[in-house]
Amino acid sequence: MKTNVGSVERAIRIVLGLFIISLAFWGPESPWAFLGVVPVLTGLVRYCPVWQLIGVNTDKKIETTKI
Amino acid sequence: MFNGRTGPPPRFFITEDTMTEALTKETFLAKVFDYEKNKEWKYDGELPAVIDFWAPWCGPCRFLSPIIDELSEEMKGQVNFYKVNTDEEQELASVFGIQSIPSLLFIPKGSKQPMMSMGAMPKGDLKKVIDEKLLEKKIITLA
Repeated sequence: MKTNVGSVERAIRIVLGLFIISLAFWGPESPWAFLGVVPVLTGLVRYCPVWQLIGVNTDKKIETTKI
Repeated sequence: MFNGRTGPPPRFFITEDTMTEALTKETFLAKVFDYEKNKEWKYDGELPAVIDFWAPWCGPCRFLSPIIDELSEEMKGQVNFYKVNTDEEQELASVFGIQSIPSLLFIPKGSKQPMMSMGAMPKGDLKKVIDEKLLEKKIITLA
């Protein structure tokens, strides 16, 4: 599958997403905090549809075959 | 300087003054592939290329480096040889997911996917890979 989220951005998305989800249980305790699942998922699969739409790709890895 | 010793000085470390062209990120983008502008791999060079990813402190790289220099002379006009110092060009190493050095990148002409081989190899084996994978020569072995 094509990826467009680089490794640094991936880590930021997952950490930030988990923090947002945690806000459902402390602080504002709002159910909106479950929206944090979006950055977590896009980070896990390294693909962001919004990046695709606006032509951003932070994952510059070039695919090679092993010989 | 070396107590009357003739010949070149001992090569404890690889120096930059080898015959093979060293690539930086800028020259890679210009000569091989601009991954900042393009997404789909396409090599625009006129000759297939081999890139040696190395570092000055790496033992097997010291074995491979003179072989690359020799082949670069012998195969002039057939294949372009380049070297990338992974200590200085960390982004290039990261773009290709280099995990160990030396690693050799074989780049066929056009949009065919590049091939990566990890570790050093003897000159004969390396030439065979270049002939088969880049020059698409048929190797006939007599039984």
